[in-house]
Amino acid sequence: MERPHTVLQVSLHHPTKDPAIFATVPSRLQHDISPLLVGRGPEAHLQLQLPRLSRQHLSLEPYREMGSAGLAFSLKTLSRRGCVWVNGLTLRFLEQVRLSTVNRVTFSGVQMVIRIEGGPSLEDFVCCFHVSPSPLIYRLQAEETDEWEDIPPGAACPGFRAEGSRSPGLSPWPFLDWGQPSPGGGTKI
Amino acid sequence: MSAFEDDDTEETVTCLQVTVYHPGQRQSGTFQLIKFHHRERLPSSEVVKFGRNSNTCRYTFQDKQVSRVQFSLQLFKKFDGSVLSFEIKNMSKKTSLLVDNTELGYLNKVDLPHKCMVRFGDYQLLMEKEDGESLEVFETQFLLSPRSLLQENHWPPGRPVPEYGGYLSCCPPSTSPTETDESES
Repeated sequence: MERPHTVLQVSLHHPTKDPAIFATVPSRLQHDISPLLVGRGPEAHLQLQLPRLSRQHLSLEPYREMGSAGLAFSLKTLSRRGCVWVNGLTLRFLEQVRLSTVNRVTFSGVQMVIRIEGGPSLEDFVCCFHVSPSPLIYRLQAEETDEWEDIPPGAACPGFRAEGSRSPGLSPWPFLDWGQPSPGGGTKI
Repeated sequence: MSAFEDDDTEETVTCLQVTVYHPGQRQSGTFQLIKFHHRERLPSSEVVKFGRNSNTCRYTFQDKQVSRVQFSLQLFKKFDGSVLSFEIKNMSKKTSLLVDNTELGYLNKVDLPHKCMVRFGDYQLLMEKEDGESLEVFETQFLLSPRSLLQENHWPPGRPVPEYGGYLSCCPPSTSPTETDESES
């Protein structure tokens, strides 16, 4: 008997509401246990048609926590120029966090909410995508997030946090600071 | 101005040196597809797979007892840190992976210590990381050890790891110290 998959319910929104952005997004995607790539390039499993998006912008990697039976996920930024905001943390190139059950993610103007519904299958997992006409994350500021070339290390990610701070507590959306992910480095996951 | 003067400043590159040993390496040729003493440069975003399947794995072992993908390594940057770190994930459903004395089951992953012994089956891989500045690329270099690395590095013998058959949860964890190579001279 086939074992039920872990399902990622992924809602997507972009403020321009341009249907071309999500034109190639399937409603359902079954993926093996390799990292799922999100970006603009042809190698991305989830392709979004945004010119400022990197070809590989971020990845969602399934793994198993020590002592746990089901799949967990970590999100890693693969964009050298852009940053990704995840549950109040701003991630730059190669930084990663463990995802919680419900996760608010923004990058290049895209708002993404990921809800993880656990299942026992360790063979693959399923993503169900839903494009939302209305914002998923409120009080989002208009500035873009992927202009990093001239920003010195340690400076703020535009529009997402207080100047010079990477503290999740200083997120402009304090109501979203519940369920903080643990930073990807340093701990056994 | 000469091209030399105009060139970008060179960055140092993170390098993972992997010394491998298998007791049957002379007869079996399990490492015949690995280029030893060669520094290979890879993009930092690559997930490097080790296993039997040459289509999917960057580094292959010619041994039917090895899983098609045995384990993977990938770089990440610690939050608010500047150096790159590796994490290792066991991709084998049949064989557990020992990283020093930490046993990884299928899809478990752990940060790779600066110097550590990775074991599965009869395979021993001593992994040593050399820090570098570049975030774009990293390098790997393989060395072949003629002798068991456990003896050579005075590593605790640990537990036997069967090729097929569970994750050894029956065996008590070793209480020996993990790192013993700093005071051997």
